[in-house]
Amino acid sequence: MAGPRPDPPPDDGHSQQRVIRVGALARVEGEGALTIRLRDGAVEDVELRIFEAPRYFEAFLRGRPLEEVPDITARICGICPVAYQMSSVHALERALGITVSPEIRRLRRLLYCGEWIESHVLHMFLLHAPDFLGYDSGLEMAEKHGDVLKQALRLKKHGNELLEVLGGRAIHPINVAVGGFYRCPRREEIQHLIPDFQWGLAAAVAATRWVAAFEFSEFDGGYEFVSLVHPDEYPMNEGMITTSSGDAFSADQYADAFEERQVPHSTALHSLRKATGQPYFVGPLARLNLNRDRLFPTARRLSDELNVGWPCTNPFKSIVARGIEVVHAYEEALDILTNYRPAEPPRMPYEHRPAEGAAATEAPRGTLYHRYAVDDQGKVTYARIVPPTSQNQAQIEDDLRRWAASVLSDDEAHTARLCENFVRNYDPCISCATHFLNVQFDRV
Amino acid sequence: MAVGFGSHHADDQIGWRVAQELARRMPDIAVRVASKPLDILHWLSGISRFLICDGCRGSGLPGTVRRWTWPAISIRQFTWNGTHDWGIVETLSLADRLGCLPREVLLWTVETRYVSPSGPMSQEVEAAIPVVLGAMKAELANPTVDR
Repeated sequence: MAGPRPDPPPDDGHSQQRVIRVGALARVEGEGALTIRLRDGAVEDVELRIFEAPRYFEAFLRGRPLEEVPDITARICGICPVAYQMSSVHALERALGITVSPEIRRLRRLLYCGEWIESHVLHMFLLHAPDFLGYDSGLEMAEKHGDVLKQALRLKKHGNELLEVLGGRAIHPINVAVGGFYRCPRREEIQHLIPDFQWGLAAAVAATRWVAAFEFSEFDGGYEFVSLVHPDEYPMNEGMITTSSGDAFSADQYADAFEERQVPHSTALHSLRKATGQPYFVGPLARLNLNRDRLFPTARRLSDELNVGWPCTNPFKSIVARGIEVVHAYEEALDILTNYRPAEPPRMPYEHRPAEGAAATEAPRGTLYHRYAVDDQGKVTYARIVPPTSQNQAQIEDDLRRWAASVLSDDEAHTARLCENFVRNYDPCISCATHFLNVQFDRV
Repeated sequence: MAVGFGSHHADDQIGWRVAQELARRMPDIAVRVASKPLDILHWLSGISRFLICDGCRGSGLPGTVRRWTWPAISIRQFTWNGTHDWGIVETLSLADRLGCLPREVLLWTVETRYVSPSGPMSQEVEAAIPVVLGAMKAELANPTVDR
């Protein structure tokens, strides 16, 4: 149950309370801190803290020209800059009444394919797979699975190359603009990637079959899944924000459907469904559960073949969901590359006017919501950014409450490690280190 | 090849600034900038000498420059700036295990002070740029350098 929790009952001298407090793991941009409160040997409560970098940027953007928003928001996340750029340009284009051409639309989907490939492959093989194989890290895994990692790195490189060709440079895409792109690549600049992507599609299918054969712990999250849903395509940049309970909202209605609540134990806000006061789950598993019939053919057949059990509510199988999305991304990328035509013009014209607009796009980790207001000079007066990791935090905490209870033992280090493994199912923006989660057991 | 790691954020720009200056002054050298250490694994083929510059924490006062020759064990004690990816030490270790690490890997670290998002570089770290640059140029003047 989400929302404020009652204070623990006073110690009556008969029950034994232990409060496990976690000091924040001090990394530069990522912190994960977990508190497990135990009473009489049982888990009474769990509190999770995840640092939220986007909050800095909401204030930083005010007063900036709207044309700078894609470049500034791209700096929020080093692994998914495209997601922040896509949500920002779509929100600003909604505000200013800009409709991009079909060619620009396809090029944006191609850019997102590159980011999904890069992000998903990194997480699947270098961060998450080691958990299923009993390794402490991807480094240990390299000893016996070097070929798998080499293949994964080659897949990741394809994502990098796509971002470099379309984004203008690999380290930080600079080609995305409000209204389109600053420049569209020529056919020969982009179609030389086709042989790599043909190889990559087959390799992604094989790699996904490999992870689907892992042994998965049993855990039924009973989630309310949320993702974009589009009538014609697997969602990336457009669609209605849809829930597995059957509700659908436009991005303009986001604040009517979802709210962020302050919780006493954390500076991070908890995202909840307004209608129920309950948490919800965004990400690849949500997307697949809500959009599986709109996958490209090979990905769709693979999702049938792998016998995941749809709809799937086991977060451990998120690694398989990511694999299926990598296959889809390769398929769709090949389709766009093969039929590519540069957009002319590369950017749609527009004029500054006081306006407000919102958009949601599907970052690798889930739905990413942006809202902006601009003045008649084209300056940002308001910005709101709700990333997928923030939206999942309440759900992760709820899940950890159950998971910690099921794996709790006297071996605190082992319990902590199992909690870290569990959080990695969500691919939050702090899971890059082997031991990102500082779990402290306070036994009173 | 020389690589500068970093980001747009305050002192974390140090690797990029050094690499950009190096590329300007030594145009015959393969110089790249990166934000994610794992990206270097795509560039190592055929490379025999690999020079790196990045910011870190734990090596002394802000602006302190230190030089390491891989596989210096003591390098692992420091905290590397940047998230969402493997760190430099883990990445070099992975390259080693996958059999693609260059014969010689040299790393220059600069102790950082500020890492606030999109913030300015501190004076101490800015002052370290010519120090690192001079050291890397001296190494690259070695006739075994990659062209």
